[in-house]
Amino acid sequence: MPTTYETLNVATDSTTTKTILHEVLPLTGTLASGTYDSPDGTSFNIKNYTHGMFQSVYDYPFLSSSANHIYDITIGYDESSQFSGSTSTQNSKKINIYNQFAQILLGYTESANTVRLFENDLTLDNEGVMQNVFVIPFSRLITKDQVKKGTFSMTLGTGSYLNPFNESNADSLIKLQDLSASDQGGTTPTIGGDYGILYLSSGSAPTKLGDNGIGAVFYQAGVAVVTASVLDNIANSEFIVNATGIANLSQSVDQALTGSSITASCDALRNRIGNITFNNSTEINSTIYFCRLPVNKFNYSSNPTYTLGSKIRVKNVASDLPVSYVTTVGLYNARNELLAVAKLSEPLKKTPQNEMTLRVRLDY
Amino acid sequence: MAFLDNSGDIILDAVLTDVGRKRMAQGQFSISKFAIGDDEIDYALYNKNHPSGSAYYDLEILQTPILEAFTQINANINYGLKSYARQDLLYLPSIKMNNLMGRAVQTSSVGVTYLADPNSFASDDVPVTTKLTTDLGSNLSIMISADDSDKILMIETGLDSGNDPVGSSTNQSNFIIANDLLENNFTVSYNSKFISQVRGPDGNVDFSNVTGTGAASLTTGFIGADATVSSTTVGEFHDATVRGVLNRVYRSVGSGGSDTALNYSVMRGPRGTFTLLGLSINPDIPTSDYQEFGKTGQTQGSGASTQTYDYIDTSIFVTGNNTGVSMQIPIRIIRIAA
Repeated sequence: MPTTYETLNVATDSTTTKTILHEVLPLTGTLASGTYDSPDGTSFNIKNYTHGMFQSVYDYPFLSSSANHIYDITIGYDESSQFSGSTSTQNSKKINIYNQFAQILLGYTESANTVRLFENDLTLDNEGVMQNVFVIPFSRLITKDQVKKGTFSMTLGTGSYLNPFNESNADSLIKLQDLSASDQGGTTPTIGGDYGILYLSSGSAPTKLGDNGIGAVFYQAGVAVVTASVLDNIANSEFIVNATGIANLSQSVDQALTGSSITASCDALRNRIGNITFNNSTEINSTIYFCRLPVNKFNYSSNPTYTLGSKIRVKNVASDLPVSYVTTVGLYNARNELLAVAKLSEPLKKTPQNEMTLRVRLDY
Repeated sequence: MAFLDNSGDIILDAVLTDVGRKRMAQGQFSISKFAIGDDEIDYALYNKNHPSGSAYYDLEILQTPILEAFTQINANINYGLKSYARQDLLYLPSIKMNNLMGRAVQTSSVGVTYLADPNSFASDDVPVTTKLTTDLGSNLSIMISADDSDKILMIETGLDSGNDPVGSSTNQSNFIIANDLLENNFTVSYNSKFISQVRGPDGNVDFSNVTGTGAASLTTGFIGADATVSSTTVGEFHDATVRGVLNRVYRSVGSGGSDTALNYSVMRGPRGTFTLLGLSINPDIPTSDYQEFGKTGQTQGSGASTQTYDYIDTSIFVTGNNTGVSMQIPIRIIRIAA
């Protein structure tokens, strides 16, 4: 139990800082493909639910405690969509999915108080609406505080069902990027946070292919919304082939929206998801305490080895300078409770001839 | 808990402790002061006789690898660096248990001091203290719970420096009092699960020379410790504050030329203060605690009898509130086997 404390003046001995950290998140298509089997074959990294409203993608067989939730996949359409109808499979659930994301991310129109629709531009003027969408909400574990603007990229395979990423055909791979977005602009604020537009792109120094967006990415919410029409032109229109329990089936995206379940559409989309990459952002708020060790303080120790027969080991005669070695800084409250502790990577020598300021940073 | 990488720049590895997180959750996180620790340092490695000169005296100390910070409150800074106004101190006080005075309990051959439950009797109605005295061969290391009329813990501080400087009144003034090295209070940390009360010296206590005899006498008297609070340094412990009393035993050279004060005081130089401790066993310790935290059905000492005992080993920590000098005293709470 230390008995010598030095008072920290909050006004002069501490300061606060904010740091934004970014991580690159490469989410490879092998995760989305769902072939990650557990050793005993009882679970995969794709989790389906009995309600059938979305799928979850894990980085490891989801029954394992080591598995991390990466993102979900679902599909939905607005009730004004041409595919909405009582005969459509899971019609109400697909509408619910669309409305849920739209009302949380975009809110309601001011006049009719109806849910805004996703749009392929930044104006939210009901032009260029995306009524049928794939939605990919990313886990907070992945996005942390937000997706860094201008870093989102997703590739989709447009080849045949069995060979969606046909390497012999350069056109069988499309890339979606938020090319116009940056920290300085190119986004629109909504009640769900800022969103940017996903454009088709090409080239190593990517450029937009056309002016119309084909999706949106909501940075703070960590949600990517992609219009279903982006896969209208896949080879042979084979979006779904031989879904579970249905032999000799081949459906285009439009057909799947009406004739297949959300789960089947999610399976089909996963089959075509290549790599997804973005940078996440973490805002670190820090308090830095400047622990000042003046020349005339902390020069002795109550360490039991400091003395031998009460004589200070580091001295031969009284006039020798006392020496101590700093390894630890403890931060205390007024009740002498140790609230935080910092360790130096190597001992620092303290004598009456030197003073030091130890900068202890606590991150929150 | 690994070592910190010390191959490059000096870094500070900082973490919130358990208590820090708790206080943050309570909205009571307020850092107001800091202390400096050196628990990893072994000052015995300071080699004042290094053949290569003074630059090499602390070579080994500076190469001490440092462990990562961790979140428990009781193992980060146990001692701490000290500030004294004078930079020319050559001696700092030590702390020792007095085992010379008749009332002072001693440490047994197995390194513990016994604290016996007076309400525990053998099948032949003989109290545990009597049985234990027989088995240990004496009662020198046996305290009786809640009974301050028999053996007690006596702790002394001072300079254990032999004859240089000697334990005179003048040296007490010059080396201890003038340098603000006197312990007016001690903090006793104890596990309240097993020990219910700590008592310290009252205002009548005295330890001084008997004029003209070369002997020293101890006047005892106890009072409940002040301000028993949850320990801020040892988890699940409580802290009690007891008084320190000026040690008035001074060097007394008899006709044989030797210092007879050394027959009564364990400090071989100028003495500072002393304190007395009486302990009470928590009366609510269940048998299951003896089984879980101690041992049951054990013989003690040489086993002069076939008596078996239940016991729990715990420790109390005694720290001088001024200089931070501290010691750990192993206590064996003992009763007749249930």
